[in-house]
Amino acid sequence: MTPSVLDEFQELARQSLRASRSDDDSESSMSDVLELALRNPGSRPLLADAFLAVLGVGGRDRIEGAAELVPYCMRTLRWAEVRTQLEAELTTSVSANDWRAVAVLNHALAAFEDTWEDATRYARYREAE
Amino acid sequence: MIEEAELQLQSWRGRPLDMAFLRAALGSYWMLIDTLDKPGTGMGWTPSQSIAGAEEQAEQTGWLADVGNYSRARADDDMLSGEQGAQDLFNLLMSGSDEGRAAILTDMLRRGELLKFLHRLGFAYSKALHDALPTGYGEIKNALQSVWRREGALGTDLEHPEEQTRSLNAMVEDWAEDSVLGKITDVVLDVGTFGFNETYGDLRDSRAQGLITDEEYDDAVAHAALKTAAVATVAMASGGMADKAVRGGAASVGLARSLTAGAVGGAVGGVADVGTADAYDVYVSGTKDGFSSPEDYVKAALLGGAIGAGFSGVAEGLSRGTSKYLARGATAEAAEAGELASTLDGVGVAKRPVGKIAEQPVDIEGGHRLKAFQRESGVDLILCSECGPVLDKLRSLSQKLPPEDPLRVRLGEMEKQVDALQKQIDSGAVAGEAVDGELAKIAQDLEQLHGEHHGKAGECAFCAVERSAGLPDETFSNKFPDHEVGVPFTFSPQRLMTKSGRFNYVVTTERRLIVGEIANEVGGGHIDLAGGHDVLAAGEVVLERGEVMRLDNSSGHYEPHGPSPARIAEEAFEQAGFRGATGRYVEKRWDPARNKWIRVETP
Repeated sequence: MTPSVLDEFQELARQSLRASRSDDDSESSMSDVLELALRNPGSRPLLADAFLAVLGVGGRDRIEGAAELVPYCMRTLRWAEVRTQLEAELTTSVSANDWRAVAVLNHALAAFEDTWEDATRYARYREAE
Repeated sequence: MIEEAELQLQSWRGRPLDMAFLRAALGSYWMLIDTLDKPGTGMGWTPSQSIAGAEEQAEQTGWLADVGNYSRARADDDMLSGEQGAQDLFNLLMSGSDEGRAAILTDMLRRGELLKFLHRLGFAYSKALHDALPTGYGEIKNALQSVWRREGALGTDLEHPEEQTRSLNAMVEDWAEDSVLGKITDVVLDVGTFGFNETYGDLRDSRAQGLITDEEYDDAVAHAALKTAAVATVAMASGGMADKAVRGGAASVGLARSLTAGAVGGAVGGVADVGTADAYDVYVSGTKDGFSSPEDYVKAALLGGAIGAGFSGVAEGLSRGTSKYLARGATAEAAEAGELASTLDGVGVAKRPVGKIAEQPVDIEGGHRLKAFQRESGVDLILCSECGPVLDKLRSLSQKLPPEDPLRVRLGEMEKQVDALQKQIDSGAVAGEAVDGELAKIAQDLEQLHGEHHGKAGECAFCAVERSAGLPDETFSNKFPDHEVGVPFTFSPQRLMTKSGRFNYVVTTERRLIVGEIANEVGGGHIDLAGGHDVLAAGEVVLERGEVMRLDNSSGHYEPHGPSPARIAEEAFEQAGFRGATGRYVEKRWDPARNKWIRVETP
């Protein structure tokens, strides 16, 4: 348990949401979250849980953040445990006709696929893909 | 003397046990006969070989009996070679003794091969094997009875076997032997049905007698029927020159017959309303089977003539199934076909492979291509994936216009043109480069339509017509009215001009564009943007500083679809000042198997 990493995650996630709702560049704060995860491999279980909390997966208490934060970071991280939980959540959401959740989860899972349509939207991935 | 002994022994060849007795009885004479045989000059086998075979059989099967020419190895080979093999195996079985046959059938039953073998033959064969069994062998008899003791064979009552319905052909032929009217009817039937009645009658009698299986019967009738339809079609279209057009020649149909058929057709004009469907019921489906009186025969004869008469009246285009029986080049000549031909197609014919046949560009800005696709059900022309098949679109547009509207008249003419071309391609009457030529003509009409209705770049002709003709917009309701509706986080068009990202959007029934955040909470969906009310369009949009990069209809709450929301969404973004909306709309559908929205591809 490294509270400082989680605190930093929560702060950067909040910034990503603020940026997405304003005229600021939201990629900058999302990129900071990704760098945090890459710098702290030992905190992977904690951060995996935090990413899922951004989307409220599995009834977790939400961490405020932009929905696109999860696909943006997972495109690089490719954490299987996150993907598995997203897929399970998607199945549940489809069964419940929760189309708001379906849309968000679909976009998050798309980042795990070989070709990612949203890659062109971000400077980090635009040229690489 | 020795040759005589050889001949005597030959008759005992299938009876190794008796042969063994003869070997003991003949003593040294046996050796003389046994060693004198030479291939091609004597029996082709030696008596000792026959006995050795029987002993081998006993080792393999545990039984030693007179099995005639049967051997398990040969039987296995025969069983693998289909109907003829089954026939050969039956002959082998019948060459042995009753006890030997029973032993073989027991062996086949235990190996699970008996019923497979029996079902390759008509039920009469099972009945023959059954009746040839000695007392006992209940298990084998039950298996054999399962084949012939049923409805459609000899019935379920052993004491009173079902009387088999004879074919019309057989009954009329018997009748023809006794009366002039019968003779006339026989000729009329044969001529009026282009020989099909005779072929069909033979097949039907064979099935009724249990000589062929139901599958063999169905297959043979289908081919006979289709060939007949092809012959009749060509005869009607070419004035009786059917012989030249039918693949491999038409042995049963000559010029005189074809011409006579025309005469028959004329003679039965009064019953033309009987129609081809009735004829089909009598001759192919069998639902009007079992004629029993001379009146019925005459009626059937008239129906036979009605086939000929019917062709000229219901000509529409030679169908795919029948055209395969025609010689190359004859299809176009025989394009005037009847509904019987397409009805007969239902009997079962291999279809053409489905897929794209040809395509032609429609010369408008943004480009569209007019494509012809072969489908199971026929040929479809497709212009725009959002609009679906051209024919359907023309019809739906026409229905929205007043009957006297000149646009409706024009669309109606195009509809006829497209319908005719689809049928001609489907029948093979238009093929190869001719398809490209005909498609190009329709593509030109669509270009003109697009231009006349001030079509925009990337907009298809139909979308242009819908927009400019002021046709009613389609509305889509919230499919889950019980879902909670929240306050969305929205963006004004002005703010969006400087933003990039993926957003939800709806176009309300007042044509107001509302764009908002995508979130998996109440407030983050399309119903939140629309306040739960009906919409004209809904989906997601990807914007990049004032330009529409992608636009779709992925909304699970509203599921908008078709050209109307596509047109309205593009227009709404254009009118709000965004660049590039026209032509960027992609129709998607929810794929439950993959749990995702997928693009609707042009079929």
